Amino acid sequence: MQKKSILQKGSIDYSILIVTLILIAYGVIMVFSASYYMAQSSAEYDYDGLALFKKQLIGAAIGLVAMIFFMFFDYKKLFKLRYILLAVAGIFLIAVLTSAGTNLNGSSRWIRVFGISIQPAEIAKFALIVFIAASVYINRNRMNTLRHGILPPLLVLAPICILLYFQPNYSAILILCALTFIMIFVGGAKGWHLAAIGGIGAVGLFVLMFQKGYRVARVTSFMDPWQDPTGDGYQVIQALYGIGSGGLFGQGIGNGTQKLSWLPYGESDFIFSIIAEELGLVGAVLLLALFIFLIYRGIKVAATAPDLFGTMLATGIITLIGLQVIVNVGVVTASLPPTGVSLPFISYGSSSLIIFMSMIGILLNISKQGRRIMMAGSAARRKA
Amino acid sequence: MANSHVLITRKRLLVLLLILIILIILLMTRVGYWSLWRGEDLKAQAESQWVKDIEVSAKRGSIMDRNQQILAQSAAADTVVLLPEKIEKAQNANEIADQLSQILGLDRNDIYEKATNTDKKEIWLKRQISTEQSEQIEALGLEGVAFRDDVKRFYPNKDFAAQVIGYTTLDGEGQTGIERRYNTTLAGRAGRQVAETAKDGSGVPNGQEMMIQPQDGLNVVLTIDEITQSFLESACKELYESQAPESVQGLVMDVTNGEILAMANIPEFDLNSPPREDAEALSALSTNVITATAYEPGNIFGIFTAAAAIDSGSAAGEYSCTGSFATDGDVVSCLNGAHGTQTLTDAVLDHCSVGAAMQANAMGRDVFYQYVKGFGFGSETGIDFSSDTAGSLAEKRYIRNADVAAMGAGEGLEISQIQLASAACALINGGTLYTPKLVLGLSDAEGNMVESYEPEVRGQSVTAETSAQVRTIMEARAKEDGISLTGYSAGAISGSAVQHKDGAVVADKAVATYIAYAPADDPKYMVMITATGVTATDSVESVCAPYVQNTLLGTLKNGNIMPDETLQPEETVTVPNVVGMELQEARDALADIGLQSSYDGSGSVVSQFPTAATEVHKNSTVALTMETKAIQPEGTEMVTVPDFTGMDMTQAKNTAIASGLVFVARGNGVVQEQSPAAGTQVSRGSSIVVDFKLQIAAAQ
Repeated sequence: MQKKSILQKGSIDYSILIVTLILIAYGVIMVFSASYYMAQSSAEYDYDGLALFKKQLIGAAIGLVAMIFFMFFDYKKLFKLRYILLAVAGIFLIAVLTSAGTNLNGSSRWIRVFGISIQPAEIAKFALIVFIAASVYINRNRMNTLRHGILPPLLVLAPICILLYFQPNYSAILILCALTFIMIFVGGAKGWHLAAIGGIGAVGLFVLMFQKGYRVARVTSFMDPWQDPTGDGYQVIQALYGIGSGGLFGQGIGNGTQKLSWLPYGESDFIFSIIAEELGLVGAVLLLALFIFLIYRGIKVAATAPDLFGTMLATGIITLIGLQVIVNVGVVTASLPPTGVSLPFISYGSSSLIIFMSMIGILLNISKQGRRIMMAGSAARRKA
Repeated sequence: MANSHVLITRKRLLVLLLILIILIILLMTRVGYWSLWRGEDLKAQAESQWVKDIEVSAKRGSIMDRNQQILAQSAAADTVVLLPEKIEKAQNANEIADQLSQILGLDRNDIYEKATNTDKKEIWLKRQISTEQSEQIEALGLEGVAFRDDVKRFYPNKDFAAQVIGYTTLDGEGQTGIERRYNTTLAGRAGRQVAETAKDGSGVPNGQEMMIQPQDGLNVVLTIDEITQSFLESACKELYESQAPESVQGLVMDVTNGEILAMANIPEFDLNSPPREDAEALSALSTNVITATAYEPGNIFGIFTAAAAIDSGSAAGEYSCTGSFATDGDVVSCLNGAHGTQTLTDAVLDHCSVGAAMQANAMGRDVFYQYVKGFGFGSETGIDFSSDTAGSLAEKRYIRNADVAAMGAGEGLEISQIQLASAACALINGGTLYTPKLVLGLSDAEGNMVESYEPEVRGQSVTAETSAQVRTIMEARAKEDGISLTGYSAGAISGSAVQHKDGAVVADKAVATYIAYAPADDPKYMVMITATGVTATDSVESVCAPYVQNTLLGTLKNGNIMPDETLQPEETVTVPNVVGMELQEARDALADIGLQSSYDGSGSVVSQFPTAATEVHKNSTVALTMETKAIQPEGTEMVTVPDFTGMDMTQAKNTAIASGLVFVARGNGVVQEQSPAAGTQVSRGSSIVVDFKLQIAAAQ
């Protein structure tokens, strides 16, 4: 009992908190810059240039509350909540397919709850992380078996992916599969098991990609966006124009031109291009450096977590952030086929922002408990 | 077990960390590649996308006659376009094809095909349709049918002076005539608007913008006089219809400065709708034969040979024509047989080729060439027009005596009609050769002349004395041919040549030219009409004479040249009875038989002097006493203002001159208003201001 109270007195990893706050500030400012022109000329936002900025600010505020809540919420309690979380994710994933979902560009990814647009996929990601972390924790000594190490995560992943397939939201499927794979890998699965799953995954990806024509086009346009500059390659070319005209130091915040209706989704999925245009290569590399730092600190938290559940939770959280950064920037820089993945903390979208900030809250809670242990451990070693 | 498990996890965490960091660093270099390595290129592409460069077209200038009457101007016109995507959505291709084929007179299937061609975003169906057509189409409210702004070149007088004015492409590029020669002047300079824009085309906050104002084209003011031109054209058309030649060319020039007052080529074509599909026909129709086509002049050239003979002092007293004249084995012959012994004057009047050949031979090659060149033959006239042929004159050093003899008779050389006309002007005006001139100057949009082109003297062809001597020959010609211009004396030149076509002589056809000028003692205007391909007869030389006479008379009146009172012919007429007639009726009756009238009021005629049935000289005045007396100031003769309603400019002007009023025209077209009103009594010589308004007919 005494030990527990000592643990709770430990301090959080402030560097993670600070970097997160910097990222959020960075994002809110860039959303403002990227969305102003679009919003002030759009009837959808009542011609209010600040509409998206305000929404993002509100999202950040709610996210901050959520982050602080989870900072003081013992992450171990999530272990028991894993099925509830999966159930909530499942309900949302099903609800979004009904008429309650908002259809945009041929896919229904949003659902409005109490006036807030929520992406069920975001909830699913969170629920899946918690579930796999718990599964690895339970089966920590049987991870090298297919039945206990590999099967439970896949059994949960499969229905989620099927539901996402109906939206359709292939990018989320891709992210979730990669996330699951990495978590199982870190959790200690057997090498050839991992290779087999990876092989099956790659074949599945291939089949999925060539099943529908437009995804083939997307893949070819990623290889050379200038093949079809007005069609599939258009968005990527516009993103590259943004990066190219930014140069080393950029044109200054607010001075970009690509956001003036040239680059679609300049405030969300393609915000990285606007950042590169306005803040230059320096601004873009700085942003990526912040993410590297966050990942480094996150992995450290995972490594020093008090238990395997905490380790896996931190791993899942940091992997999700890392994957999204890599896929998002990869798409914007024509390094990966175009797919709609948001840039964590930066892209416009309050539900994603709230979820990610909650995850950081959990990460901070793990760091608070872990650091204490580590210090106790080193003190013990010194005594010995 | 637990320990090894933790170790595996830690190791794998490290691997994950390294992979993520490496991937992100790779992405950083990827960003660097795009922003630094490919930056310049991408930025240039991006900028070309942001900056919209719009051409702001300049308004094409008008072409006007010397009194600034509009002959060609540009006006807005709609172009109908089809939007196949919208049509597909609205499913109204059949309706569109039915309606538009009817309104535009196009093929229904063709329209249907275009309307359903969804490969294209926008298809231009017909350019520059008339206002009525676009109103009709607009009223239908068809989905997928739209209009684009376009500019049409509009010629209010249609075929008037068609070959002189010339036509343009649908895009307004001058193709022939003045439209071509002054294309850059008329076109002006297009402006540019360069602006940074958003994709939707709206302006950019703080965006760069640059505007280069377009420079509208200047108006070209021709020396052509609209009224004289219509005199000439109607005379030429009459000739074309009555004598059935292949074509007729006519020219009116001011001999004192080389200005061309009228220039006509019959058949004409409507400049508003040139036959664009048939390039050959269009090229034939639009050619200004007068400046572009060289031909063998034939015996009309004799007058220049004679002038050279007189001027060089080589003229002999008598020329004996035996029907042919041989030099170096070559023979020049008179087709109509031997003329016998004749003076130089008779030789010219008889169109004696033998006489002309003798004259040329007598002066020798060098002297002959000096004069031929002095008259401007063998070189371009320098006319400010799109075509100006030099003709064909062999180089002097290759010329034998036989050639000189033939050329003296107008054979073995080729000249253009404009060369002939300007040489004739020189012969008439005292020897000064002027550059023929079609353009008086350039004016701006407000009608201010910004540039005036002065008459240009090219040289002295013969002395004034020679010119005077030759004029007596020409006066004799006019008398012989019965050229009668009431109140004016005249001189004339005539001649005919065989017609060549595709290198061969056309049997029984000739090129007949008649030139006349007036007044004889102080020459001002010269009219030349050529009938190409007219049937060759004994009197073919004077076939154009009556038409030249009519044109010349009209030109003199229009030019306000006062008739010479002493020249009234001693013809007598019988005065008709006009008592009881209304004033206008009475005056018309008197005018019909060549009598002037004076009157002192209005209403019907109470009495007349001289009385009916009296024999009087033609053109004498019959005084009419009127029912209603006008109060008139002492010493001024009063005239009644005629009614001009419905007249065109030519009629109105003639009527005004006949009534002794000074004609002031405003605008162009058909009479709309006049001031003072019809029936008003005004003193002779007052101004009558007549407003004309253009009746714009549908352009199709």
